[in-house]
Amino acid sequence: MVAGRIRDIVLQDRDIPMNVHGKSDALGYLEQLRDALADPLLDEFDGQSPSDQAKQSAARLAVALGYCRLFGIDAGEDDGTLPVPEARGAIESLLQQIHELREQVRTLPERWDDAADGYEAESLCADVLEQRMDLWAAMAALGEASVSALIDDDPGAEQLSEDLESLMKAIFDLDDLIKQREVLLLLSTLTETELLENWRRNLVEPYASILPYWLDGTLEDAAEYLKHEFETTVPRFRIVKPEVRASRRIREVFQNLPQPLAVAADAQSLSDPFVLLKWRSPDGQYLARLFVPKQPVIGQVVSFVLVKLQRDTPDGKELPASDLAGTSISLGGVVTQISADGSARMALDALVKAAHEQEEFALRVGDAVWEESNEESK
Amino acid sequence: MRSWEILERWQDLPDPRSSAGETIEIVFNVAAWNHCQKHLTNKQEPWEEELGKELVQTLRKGVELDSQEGRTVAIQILRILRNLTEESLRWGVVLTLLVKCARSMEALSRAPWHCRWLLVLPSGAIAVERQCSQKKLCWVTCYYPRAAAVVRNRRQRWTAAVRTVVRRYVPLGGNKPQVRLPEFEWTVIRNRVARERDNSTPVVEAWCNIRFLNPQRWGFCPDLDGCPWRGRPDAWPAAEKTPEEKPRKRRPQKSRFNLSWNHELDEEKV
Repeated sequence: MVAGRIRDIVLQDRDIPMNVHGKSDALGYLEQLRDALADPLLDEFDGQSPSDQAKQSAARLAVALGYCRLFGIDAGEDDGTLPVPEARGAIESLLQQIHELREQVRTLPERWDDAADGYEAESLCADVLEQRMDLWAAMAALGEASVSALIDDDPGAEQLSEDLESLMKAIFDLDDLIKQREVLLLLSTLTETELLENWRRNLVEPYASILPYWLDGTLEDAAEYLKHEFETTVPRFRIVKPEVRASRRIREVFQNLPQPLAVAADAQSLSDPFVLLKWRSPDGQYLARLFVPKQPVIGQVVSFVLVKLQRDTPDGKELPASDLAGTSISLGGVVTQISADGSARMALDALVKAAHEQEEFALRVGDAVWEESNEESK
Repeated sequence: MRSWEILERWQDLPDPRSSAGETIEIVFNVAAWNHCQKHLTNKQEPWEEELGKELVQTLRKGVELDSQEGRTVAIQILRILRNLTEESLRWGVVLTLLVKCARSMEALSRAPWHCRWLLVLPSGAIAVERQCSQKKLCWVTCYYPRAAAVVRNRRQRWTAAVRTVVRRYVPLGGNKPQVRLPEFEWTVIRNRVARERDNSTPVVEAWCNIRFLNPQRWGFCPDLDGCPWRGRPDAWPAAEKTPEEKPRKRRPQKSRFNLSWNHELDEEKV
């Protein structure tokens, strides 16, 4: 047991050497540097005119090397300073990347709206911030390359300084774009992830003392502002897009029901006493129907009727969905189980309450969301 | 075609949660196809290398699923996506987590949790799936994270994708900071404001119970205390298949420049 513990410690120390800052390459940036160094396209810098792809490789190398500086990672035999041709090639490529990043930032809100999933939306924001962090890292490596070239009296030193200045100007312009309120609010969604804190924890001096705006608490402030706004003004922001009108309509059916009566109203007095709601399973095999009374009574229970569609039969017959017996069914978080005859009963007042309170008001059978259907099964 | 209509069902896919050879099913519907087309045709994402130039260019021209040509293209692309997905599930570079959202902070505590799957594909793209039942997933989207898309070497793309995921969701911890495999009950997103995907209405969301299935495939070391992450996952044969890629010696850089004033002062003294 003790031997095992010692082996663990030895392995850890061997795998992740500590540096003078007491930090290790816990976030895997050294591996990124090794990958960048292994790119054969870097050989093109031995010739006169490296290709655009080679310049991209140099930019990746500058970024990876820069992270080693920001995080105080001892790269050992892989460490070094960028020679002038590689540094200039990297700057050229980074300028192009900034051009593309500007477009990404400009279109971020609409791409965010268009994302299929929360994870994808978050990735869009992370992509932007990771690229901005990459630029900071690259500047560390390129600044070092520039000073080294000046001290070595490298003939390309002056041109490299000028290129670096152009890069800095392009980064300042980019920051103006990123610091727009709407973009910052979107980027602030990343504050709940570990990304920013992981970066902060790994920074060494002097970088740890000169935090850029995405690490100095600006995004956390934006996130707080967003939460405050959300809690105080959320109802005013509700906008209904056409594609969700159908699902919104289902919620509204319940929200708009009158107060339940103590006794049943005379059904004959209403020309159309029920609203029929329908949902279809994702695979199209099942249909659920629910008749919602337009005038409910206290304690009323409503029944879902689930049927299995028989598409192969000439008359398009439907059968009770008895094969779903025992499966959970929920609407707005009100849960019950499907009976052997394919029906499921729920208290109407619970559904009304859920329609007012719950964020999600989708019909779920098992874990699958069923979509509202406007079609009849036959 | 209507958004809920199913394009394909991929049955008998390996279930990465099981070591007993159990299988799961993935359903790919029209809505997912319509969304994924935006990624497949995005010039910033290297899909041409996986799907072939011809297929992607046909997609870029715009094809309707209702047409014969559109259907043929979709079948060919879905076959490739299925193969990538099957390989990902078999190798097990998969993450699951629970998500929920609500219209108010108060309602969030009562909202039900839903399971999401993230698959790192051998190409370096990430696929997101919604779990519909214990054995059935529904395809949501697939795309390249930027960090993976810009990597020229295909075999390094998936490791770039893995790094972005780990750096984003696993905290550095301890006196000697390390990234360690998170506890199962760990909260990823406590609560944050987001816009509802289909509604432009602000909602608040929470994520928890992140699980890296097959942690060693992600680069975690289960044999070591605390299961730390090492930054370089094991080689993945399916991602290494490009024949022209050969191991290469690293290119040396210029010796590191080090501005040491103390050293210069020492020289002056001498």
